[in-house]
Amino acid sequence: MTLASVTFHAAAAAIFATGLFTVIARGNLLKKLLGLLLLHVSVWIVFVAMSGTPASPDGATIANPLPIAFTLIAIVLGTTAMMVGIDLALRIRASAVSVEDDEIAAHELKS
Amino acid sequence: MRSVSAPAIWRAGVLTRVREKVPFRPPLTALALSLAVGALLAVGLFDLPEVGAAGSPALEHVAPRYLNDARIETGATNATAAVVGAYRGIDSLLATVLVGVAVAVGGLVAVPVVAPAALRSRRRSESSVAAPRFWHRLEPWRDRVDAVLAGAAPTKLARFLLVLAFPLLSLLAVVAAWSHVDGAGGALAAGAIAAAGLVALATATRLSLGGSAMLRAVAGSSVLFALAVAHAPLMEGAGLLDFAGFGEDFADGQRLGIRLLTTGLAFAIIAWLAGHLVTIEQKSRP
Repeated sequence: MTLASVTFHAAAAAIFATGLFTVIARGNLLKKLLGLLLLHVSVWIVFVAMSGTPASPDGATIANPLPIAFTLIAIVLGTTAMMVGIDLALRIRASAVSVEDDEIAAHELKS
Repeated sequence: MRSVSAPAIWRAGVLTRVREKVPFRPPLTALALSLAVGALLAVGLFDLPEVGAAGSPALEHVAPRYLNDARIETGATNATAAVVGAYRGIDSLLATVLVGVAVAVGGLVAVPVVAPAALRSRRRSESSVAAPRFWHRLEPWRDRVDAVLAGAAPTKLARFLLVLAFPLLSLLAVVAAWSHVDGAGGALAAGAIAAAGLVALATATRLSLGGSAMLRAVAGSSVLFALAVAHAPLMEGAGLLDFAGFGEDFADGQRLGIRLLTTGLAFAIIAWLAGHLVTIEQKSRP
């Protein structure tokens, strides 16, 4: 087990756990979205780790471009998904006055 | 890209307050759950091949060709650019289209333009969040979408397009579910696409999809079917999810087993999503 493997995979698992905690425990919709982005990030890390290649006989290493290309597209789509999420949160705020989930629930009970 | 993300961040600032709202009690359940999932993931991830190990699956199949021949085949001097722009060009194109659609949908859905009275009375300065004048032109379209969602009859053209969307989306869902040769990722996509088709049909014809009890039954039995498929190899003494015995050879059996499993999951997702969307639609009807 190399140091690179341990670092990448432990970091991915830790970031995923952090994201999951944020999504569950925080009431603010924007923070939930940021937690969702952390879940994205942990997957990107696993993919980037996959692009490592063994050194060739002359000592040079070239990163495998395929996982990097996937990660690039995933970053674009993850950011886009975040944007749609923010838009939906704004729409919720327009009708329920808040993005804190307990206040939204209180608003729903009232109306 | 900057023109897309800057307004998003600008709008995101509206959603936060100066001081954090402190949760009522410490979220111990969430902490325990996320720690458990993190530990499970860590165990699973350490089963992956070492980073940079020779012979890891990520380095086989197409990777050697991308590394050795990209210069000659595509003319790109950067291997990643060759993959994004040439070998996986259609993927990149579709991703770009998706970003465009997301921007359009986000604009239509979210920019309310006129802040509700409750907000305006609370903080006058927030009306500075109002969108540029261009968005006002989109307001009638947004109202139309809202009216249809609220149960009003859609126009003839919209009805035609929605009815047309149903078979196309169903076909696309079947393709998505069955074209994934070895992966199981098609189930979610297929389920979501087919549910979108059902909702389009229901919106166009203003038909109820049969009540949520039936959809719940479909979802439940689909999950049971997927579980049965997953456990079937145990009857033959093979491991869980080991479908090799389903077909002539190993790959054939695995493919068939994964497809059956995926189809079951896809139906579960269709029924679940459609049930939710129908409930939402029924609630919003006057």
